[in-house]
Amino acid sequence: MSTKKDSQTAAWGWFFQRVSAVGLVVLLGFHFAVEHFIVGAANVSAGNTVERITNGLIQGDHILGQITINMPAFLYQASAVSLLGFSVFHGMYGVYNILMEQDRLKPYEKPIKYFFIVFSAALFVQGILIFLAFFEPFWQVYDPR
Amino acid sequence: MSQDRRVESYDRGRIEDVGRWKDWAKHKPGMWAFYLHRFTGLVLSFYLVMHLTVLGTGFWLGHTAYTELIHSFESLFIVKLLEVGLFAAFVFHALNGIRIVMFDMTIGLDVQEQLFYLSIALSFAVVMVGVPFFLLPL
Repeated sequence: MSTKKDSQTAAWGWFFQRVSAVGLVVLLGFHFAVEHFIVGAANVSAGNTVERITNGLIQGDHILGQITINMPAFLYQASAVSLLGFSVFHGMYGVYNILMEQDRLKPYEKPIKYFFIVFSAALFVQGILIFLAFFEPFWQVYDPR
Repeated sequence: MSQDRRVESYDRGRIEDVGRWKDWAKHKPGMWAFYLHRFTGLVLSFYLVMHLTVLGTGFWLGHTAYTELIHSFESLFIVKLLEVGLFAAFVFHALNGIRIVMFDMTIGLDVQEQLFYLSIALSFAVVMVGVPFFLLPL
């Protein structure tokens, strides 16, 4: 039985799904442009990723090889963390909604909801750990060589 | 309450249920837009999980292993082809997503089929421009 609180939660979910969608058009477009069009996926290395994340320095080594973008580091970091948060929310909330629209799954709504909350949190933490690994104090932890 | 009766009175029925798929021959363009949006959304969500898992694994092994992992993936032609597919899924999902957000603001409801064709055409054009970036050797 759905309550007023449930429908309010669903309304906020719908709203954030739209907000994250608009954010993702920009941020995921930027991510593709940087990783595939400017740097080139085959040229991505831990070294130049460190340059991008800690210095905001995007250096072209692909077809658009002449392009060098030196943006403020905090802006690049904010775009990376926002991309992570938006994509995890948008993707997982989307899949959750597809599952919930199947009548036969209705009886399992609660366990499925909690599974997605825990799974999304784990994905977000995983992404943050990857992000942090590019900062110097963590290099030693991840790569003792 | 909205002044727009099309929005207020539109009965979606059970279009979300996958059981509707068996009537595919009767589907209009709007339904195909719905299916394509779902399919590309699932592909992108699956990729997101894989992406974070694989990159994370690379990091537990260290920076050198991370770089080697990416290079070994990128040396495979099938990976580059799959990246084009991923890009196509993203571009269509984004453009059709803009179409859906427009409908939420009651813009373009009368021309929703034309907007679907437009999102397909634009996706095709953008992906064609993108193909060399994914497939050409450096």
